[in-house]
Amino acid sequence: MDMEQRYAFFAPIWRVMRDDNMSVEEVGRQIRHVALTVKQGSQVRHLGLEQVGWVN
Amino acid sequence: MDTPRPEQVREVQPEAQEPTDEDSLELMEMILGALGKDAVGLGARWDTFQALDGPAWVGPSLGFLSNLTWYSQPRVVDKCTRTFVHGYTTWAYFSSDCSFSTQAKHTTPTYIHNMPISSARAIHVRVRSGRTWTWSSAMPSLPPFGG
Repeated sequence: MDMEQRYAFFAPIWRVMRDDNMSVEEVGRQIRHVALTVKQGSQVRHLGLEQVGWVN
Repeated sequence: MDTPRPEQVREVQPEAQEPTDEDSLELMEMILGALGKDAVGLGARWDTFQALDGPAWVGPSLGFLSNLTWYSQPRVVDKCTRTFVHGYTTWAYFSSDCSFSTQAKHTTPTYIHNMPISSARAIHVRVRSGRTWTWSSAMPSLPPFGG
């Protein structure tokens, strides 16, 4: 399976999660955006407790 | 318990410009894993999710389940099983031809534990096929033709 097929497989779940009947291309775009955001750690909720400083 | 162990915490990459396919797959796999195989349709409960493909079970020989529409055709069962209606436990008997009867044979009980079956949202029956146990669900519905 290539990535487009994987996004197509996952698209129904993502549409329910986002409550938006979007296209497969939009699903892939949003998945990549979320994956990149998590990878960058640009939001506090993506960080571990140690990185946030709540625990040592 | 959801707190990751330190070795499970990954270093952030603020300079990252593009997610790799592995990053996208990891995200999707995490969501799929959280939902579980059953919800995705890859689990043993495949029959639950073919809800409308099953036949409408009508007929006097099916006991009170004549008032029900099976989500899916129950598998061949030859054992007395527990059923749950409104969270209450009762007993049901299946035969190998999928006929169904409760303890009160040749009757069509409409109440279980003083609760009307018609008001039940769903009836979940534990059925056995060989050595495999699975859940089969039924949903109350009106009899055909308003009868």
